[in-house]
Amino acid sequence: MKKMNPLLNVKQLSVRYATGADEVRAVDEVSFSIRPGEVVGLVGESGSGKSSVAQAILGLLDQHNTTIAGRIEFDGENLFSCDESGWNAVRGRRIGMIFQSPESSFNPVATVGAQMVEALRWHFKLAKVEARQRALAALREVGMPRPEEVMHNYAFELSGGMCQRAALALVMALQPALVLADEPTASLDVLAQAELVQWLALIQKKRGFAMLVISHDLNLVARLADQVLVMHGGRLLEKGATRRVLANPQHPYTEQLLRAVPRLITADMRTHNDHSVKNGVVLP
Amino acid sequence: MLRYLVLRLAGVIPQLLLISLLAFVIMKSAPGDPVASLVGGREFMTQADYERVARNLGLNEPVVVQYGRWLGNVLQGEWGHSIQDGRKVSTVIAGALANTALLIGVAGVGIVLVSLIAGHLAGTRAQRPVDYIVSAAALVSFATPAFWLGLLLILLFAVVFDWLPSSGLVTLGSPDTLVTRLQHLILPVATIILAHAGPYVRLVRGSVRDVLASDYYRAAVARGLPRRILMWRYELPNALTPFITWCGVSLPLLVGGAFIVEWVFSWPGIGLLFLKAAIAKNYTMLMAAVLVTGAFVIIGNLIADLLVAWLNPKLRRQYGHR
Ligand SMILES: Nc1ncnc2c1ncn2[C@@H]1O[C@H](COP(=O)(O)OP(=O)(O)OP(=O)(O)O)[C@@H](O)[C@H]1O
Ligand SMILES: [Mg+2]
Repeated sequence: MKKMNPLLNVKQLSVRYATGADEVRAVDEVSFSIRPGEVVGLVGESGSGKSSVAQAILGLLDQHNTTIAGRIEFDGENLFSCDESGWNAVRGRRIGMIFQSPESSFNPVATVGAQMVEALRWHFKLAKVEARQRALAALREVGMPRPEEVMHNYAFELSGGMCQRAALALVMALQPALVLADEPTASLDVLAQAELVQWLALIQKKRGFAMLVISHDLNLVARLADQVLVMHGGRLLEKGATRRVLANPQHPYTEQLLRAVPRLITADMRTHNDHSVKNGVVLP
Repeated sequence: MLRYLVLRLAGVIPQLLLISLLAFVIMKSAPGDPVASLVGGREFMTQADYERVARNLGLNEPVVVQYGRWLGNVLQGEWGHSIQDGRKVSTVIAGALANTALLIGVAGVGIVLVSLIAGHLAGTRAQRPVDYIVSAAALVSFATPAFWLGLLLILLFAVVFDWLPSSGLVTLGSPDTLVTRLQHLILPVATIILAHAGPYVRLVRGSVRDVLASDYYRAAVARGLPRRILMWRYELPNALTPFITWCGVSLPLLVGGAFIVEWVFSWPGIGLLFLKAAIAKNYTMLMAAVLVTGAFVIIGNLIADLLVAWLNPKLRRQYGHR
């Protein structure tokens, strides 16, 4: 595989939160990059700073109590130099984000369709009818049953799995080059999790966007990611090809993480191997 | 939605009956004598005259019978005549109600505008200078009694500067134009807004902060939506529900405050009428004033509830057509 310029380049990123007199070092000089079309997994226990990394990339951190240092380049552009309209052109349109809890990430007073049409019209300056068509197409693409009806539904009328797929469709409709998925399956039941992962893998393969999958579920990361980053206490402990990291961890903490889910990982490693070889990912 | 409306309207009637009954009983058990107050005192009438007047007014019968007759008449649209001066109660009440509705209406619109704008400014700029100023002002407003503020404003703008009239709808002997009417409105309306807006501002500020901290707002920002859309489609509609609920709940406070302001500014509304009728034990007038006030508050509450239900998709679906 030809070595491409990175799509996302995170350099020495630090995030600190001021909480009263104290200061939390949530992210500590983290560097990594994502190439176009590459899927990178970010794993680590709760509170290790994973969400803070994703939020820093989209500039979502409250500037009031937050100190950010380092540099984030997206497509060669320094994101930290973006003004408001610069951010609005990047967010959603070029970097999409999927959140953990699907129902609460929809506006409770607007239908799913209205929110899709609203975002499509804003980013692509479309007429209403055209935006509707694209929204429907996106819902079909994520395998949503009865998409016409779902357009008129509020999030509270959908099941968790349906909701998360609607959220995925909303992100996909804007055709981003990079998708940040922050624990996309954490609030779903096992069946809905499996289904969502399947659709996510399928669409990613078809569309070829790059993705940062954040999870403490190593199973999910093994299934989707080409590369894995392991975080602990705000620091990046280990990074490398998924197979190498999971099969032959270099850091004791990674080993510890792996031991926590031994059975699932071994079962999944086999499918992952097939998948990664087929994709031509360079394995060590 | 229609079903909801009918259900709620059906609840209004027993509420009004209860209010009128309570008011009647309280009024009858209070000290004072309406017949005596007609001529300025018991000592100015003979016993025979006293009994004749009382009989004519139906005041010699048991309270229950009096209430029943009053209710029967009211249900037929007959509100009776003022014991004080014999004018038709319905005419007097209608005039006063129009004045009160004007006062509360203008002040209410003012409170809504002030609290939405100030609440938005403070909520979106939390813990910054704008927020501190707005929050401090809201606290001062919360702690200021309407009558005291009204007197202060009269002292300042009517007595010291002599810019605005201090009382009534019009000034006797001066031309009565739209401009003079508005001039008379300014001080009472300003008093109500300044003395009452505090809690509303605080509430909107809190709701706005809740919306801004919500997952859906963060997701909308992450979608790159511009400020305009975030404010009108996310912040406002979601902050509106608790605000309207509070408007309904706090309506009695606002009406009470407006009555005090009517008294301070001699504004010829229901509140002033109520006060004069209570002093004279003018029970036909008093009962009408109580009933109209009760209906005003209950209908206001009903409108607030309907708005909240209409804004809430869950309720709309439950009572809706789909
Ligand atoms: N807004 C904030 N203010 C103060 N501290 C915060 C804030 N957000 C996160 N933190 C702290 O920063 C650290 C990292 O949080 P972060 O949410 O990035 O971790 P995470 O890896 O995503 O955890 P989880 O798996 O629970 O989502 C935690 O200790 C958390 O308590
Ligand atoms: Mg997190």
